[in-house]
Amino acid sequence: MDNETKLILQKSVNDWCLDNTDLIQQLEQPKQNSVAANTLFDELNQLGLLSIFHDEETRSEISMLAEVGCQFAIHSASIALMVVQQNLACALLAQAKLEAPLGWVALPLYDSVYEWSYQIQYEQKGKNTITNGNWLSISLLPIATTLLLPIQAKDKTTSFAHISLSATATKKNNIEISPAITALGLRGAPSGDLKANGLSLSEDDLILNSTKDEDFVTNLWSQAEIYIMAIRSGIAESSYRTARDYATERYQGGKIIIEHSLIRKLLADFYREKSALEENWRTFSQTISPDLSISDGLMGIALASAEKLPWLTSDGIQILGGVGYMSDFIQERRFRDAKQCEFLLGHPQAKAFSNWHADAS
Amino acid sequence: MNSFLINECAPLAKLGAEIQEWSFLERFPELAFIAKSNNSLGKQLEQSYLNAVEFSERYVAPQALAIDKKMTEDPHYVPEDLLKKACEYKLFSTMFPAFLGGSGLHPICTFITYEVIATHCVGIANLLGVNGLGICCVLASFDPRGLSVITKEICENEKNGIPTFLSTCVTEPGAGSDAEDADEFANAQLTTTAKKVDGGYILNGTKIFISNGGHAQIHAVMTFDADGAHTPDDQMLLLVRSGSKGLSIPRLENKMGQKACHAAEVHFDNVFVPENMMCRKDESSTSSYSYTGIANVLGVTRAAVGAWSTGVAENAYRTALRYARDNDFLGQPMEQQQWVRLELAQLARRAQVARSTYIGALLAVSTTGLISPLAITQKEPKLPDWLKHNNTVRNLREKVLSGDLTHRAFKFMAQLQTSAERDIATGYGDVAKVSCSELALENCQKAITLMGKGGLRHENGAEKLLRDVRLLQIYEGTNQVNMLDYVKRRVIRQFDTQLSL
Ligand SMILES: Cc1cc2nc3c(=O)[nH]c(=O)nc-3n(C[C@H](O)[C@H](O)[C@H](O)COP(=O)(O)OP(=O)(O)OC[C@H]3O[C@@H](n4cnc5c(N)ncnc54)[C@H](O)[C@@H]3O)c2cc1C
Repeated sequence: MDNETKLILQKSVNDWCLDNTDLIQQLEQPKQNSVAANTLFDELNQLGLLSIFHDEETRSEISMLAEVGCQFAIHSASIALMVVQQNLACALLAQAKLEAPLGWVALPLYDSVYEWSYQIQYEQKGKNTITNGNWLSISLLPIATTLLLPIQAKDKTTSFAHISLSATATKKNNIEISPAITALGLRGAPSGDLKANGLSLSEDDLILNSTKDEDFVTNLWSQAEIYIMAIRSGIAESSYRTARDYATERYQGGKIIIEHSLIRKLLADFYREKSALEENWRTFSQTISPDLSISDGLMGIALASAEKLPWLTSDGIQILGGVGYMSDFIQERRFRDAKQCEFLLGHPQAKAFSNWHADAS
Repeated sequence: MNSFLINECAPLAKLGAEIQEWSFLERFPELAFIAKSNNSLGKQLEQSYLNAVEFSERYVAPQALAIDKKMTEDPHYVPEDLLKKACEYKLFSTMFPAFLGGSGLHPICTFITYEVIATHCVGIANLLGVNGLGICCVLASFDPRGLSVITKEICENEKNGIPTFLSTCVTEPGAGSDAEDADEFANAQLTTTAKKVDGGYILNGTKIFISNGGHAQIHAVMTFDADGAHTPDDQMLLLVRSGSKGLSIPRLENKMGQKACHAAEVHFDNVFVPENMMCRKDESSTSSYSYTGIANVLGVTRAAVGAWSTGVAENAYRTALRYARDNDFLGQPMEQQQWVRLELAQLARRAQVARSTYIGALLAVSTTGLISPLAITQKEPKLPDWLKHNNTVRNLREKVLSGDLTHRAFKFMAQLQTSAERDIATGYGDVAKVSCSELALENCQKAITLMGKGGLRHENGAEKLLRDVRLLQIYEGTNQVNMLDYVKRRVIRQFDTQLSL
């Protein structure tokens, strides 16, 4: 993506968010708002932002999706996540030569590929695949029309060769979907629990199950770390800006608080960290190949960003004092979202173990 | 694929449905040591602990998540049943001396009680315990009359199962940290003022972020004489009744956590406050406060935030322990993995460090701070029962105790306190507040990280903890402001020979 495209993209996402502050607010309420979620889908779909990865021309534009994710996250991390998730789903559907979806797609975004094996199992009965099991916290499940679900062959050792990806409608017999989970953050992008109780899938429902597909899925999930890093960077950026601007207005201790060196230090350290977060995803999004998993080093950087962000956004609250704790200034939402983002694409410790595993063996 | 996981620990012995509470000795060995040399104090401490454990397990733990959810939807909701039970357990009067109708327990009993409640819900601990802040403010004015107005009402109501709340109104839109720091007072943009009129004062202004402000029956309002100066020594503490004409609650704040205890804006529009509801520093004075008064209050209330924080740190540890007991990580039982056990041990360790820190502050403040005179005056004089319950005797006693003599006695004891002693108590309070709240925050973050996506779900408890804990770094002065105070009281003192004991 060239610089000009980047600037246009930044401006259009920013303008869209500023024009749609009411919609963002409706989405970010503690209670799930399906109407707002559907409106959001229609709006963003029309702008082509939900199918960047379905379109052949833009499918490999890692930096474009990352840029979109970061810009949305400055205004709403939930929307950023929804855009990224929908594009990941589009990439999977395009790989299976299926059409772009007409509604939100649910994906197990809170689990790493290594965690997939322990959830839903299948057995082959004639031509049908019968699945059983529970999967907790599937992202966008309560508002999705389609579900992309990895399923594991029963009694097989855990390896991708025995995992298939199924694509199915969310309204189906033998699927139970919980209401939206009351979660810490990213409340605009609700998660739900799935119970498959003898769910029967046809051959058409099983979309990706070859060794080639395994590479594709693993690479996609691995590269997705870049988009999540971009979202984290957007959250840090907005928390920083709010803190900086507040510090130039708030008067305590005989002066505007930005004149206290203690506040200057907090802001300077925050600036250093948020700039590093930004530099990391920008640099890496331009250098990695769409056909490869990210390096172990980059995974390390991604994990470090997951760990860092909750502390940065915590400072974002502290600089505001009491008002930082109130929902009016959004700092508290960024703090909650930051912690929620720590677990996107899987448990950080599971990722750290798997990242190191090849080296140890 | 997951052979990097080693299942090396034998399963823990089958744990019961709930985590077993520690004995007093197990939880507070430092206090148990003191209790050994003072049998009656020991009994008080242990009994208070057991009482708090029973109340918390029966009434706080089962409702904590439901109240949090309910009050997210409706911040005006009041958990009436819980409050009634709190009256039965005498949680509102535990902090008062017997001569004022309270429990007569040593002040440390109150702190450990609130650590235990905070172990189950710090929002509820705040709801029940924040009265203590106002009481300390009144106490620091050394006006026994003001104190007896409040204590009498709280204790009498408690006997009848009616919870009584006292809010403390200090913070204003233009004065947060400044209003908490005696040295910054001159800069504080405090605009709430009281004008002297016949028979009392007319109060005008707005206070914000007031805990329990929306349902408090009495508000302890920090203000200034409208025509006077604005130094710490000119502060007035007015006790304002909630039904007063002109008093309104324009809004309840929409805050991230500690939902059980709302924070309100309290507005005073020409509110008349009778003369006898003004706490006096001196019989002759029109002010309630002094520089030392503020410092003394902070020594106690900051240690209290340390106790609440310790409860949260303990809760985070227990929440993660329960989760690890019941869940797998990559197909293996969590609790059988050594690294998980290490994380759990670290959570327990931080809670223990926090506890030792706030208990250290309590001991300091009981030795040299505001509650040292209170600790002495806790005891009810030994009178025969018939005399104790005789109305004339009781009235006479009340009169004496709320009169000038007691006032002088209070003041005399306070004057014995040197500036160095005050700095010890307040400095320890600063450290307890900052260290315990930081340890608690770290525990909540780490507990969720261990639990993974399960830690983000409301029903598992940890997400509420993270929302709750974040307030502890802010109120009673931000942690940074506490540390600036510590610099004055402990760091600079080491270079200033004039100031040593
Ligand atoms: C939920 C809640 C409940 C509360 N309950 C009560 C209550 O019951 N009664 C009551 O009176 N108040 C209450 N408060 C107010 C609380 O005590 C204040 O929020 C706190 O003192 C901080 O003040 P502030 O919010 O105005 O922050 P500010 O003072 O505006 O601080 C903003 C930032 O500036 C920094 N800062 C401030 N002064 C200095 C300085 N001199 N040098 C360097 N840095 C500085 C702070 O550390 C902070 O980072 C409550 C607050 C909350 C959030």
